[in-house]
Amino acid sequence: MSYKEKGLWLTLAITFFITYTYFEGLFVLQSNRQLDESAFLQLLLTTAIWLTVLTIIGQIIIAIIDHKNADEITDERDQLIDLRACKVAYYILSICIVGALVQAQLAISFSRPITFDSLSNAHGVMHLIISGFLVSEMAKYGTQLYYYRRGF
Amino acid sequence: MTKVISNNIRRLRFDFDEMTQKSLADAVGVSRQTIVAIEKGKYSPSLEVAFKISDVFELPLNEVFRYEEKDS
Repeated sequence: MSYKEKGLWLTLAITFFITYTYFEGLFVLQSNRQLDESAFLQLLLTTAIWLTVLTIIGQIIIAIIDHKNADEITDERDQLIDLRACKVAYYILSICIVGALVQAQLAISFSRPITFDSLSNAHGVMHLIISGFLVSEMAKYGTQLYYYRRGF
Repeated sequence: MTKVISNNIRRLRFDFDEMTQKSLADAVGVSRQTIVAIEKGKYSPSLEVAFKISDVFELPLNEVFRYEEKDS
């Protein structure tokens, strides 16, 4: 397995773990009736920080373990795979954003909250966009791994 | 009939003083993984990389790469 693939597997696993933690945190707060805007923002900040910190630590560990290949260059094949993966992620994120806007419009029209009763509509939209971002990131890493394995 | 791009890189490396994939990759300016993918037919390189590979083996392009019908 190449250095880049190792990095992708690790980033995919970290993003999956963080996504799971984010949703779990959200539903725990909701079931304990502690979900308000400050708790939501705190969860969001924690998620962003952990995602960044774990990714950096993971990349450092891979660079230490597989230091012989750490200087592997990025060539035209990597750029093409990245381009294809970004395209998939772009479509997913676009669908999520349009979905969030439609959901927001419907919620306003029917005077109902977008996501959770205790969150404002702005925070509800933020939650949907963050969820879409996490899903699109996982799709991007998954697509890259698929093309590295299968070829094209 | 489906046509695919195939190549003789593996044999040419052997004939070329058993050149390693890493040496070829360094000479062409791509990663070793890309040479592996090209040899296995999992990736068709750009024209520029194809010409660079031909240059390394000092052969015309059509003696390194072929555009032919798929076997099965």
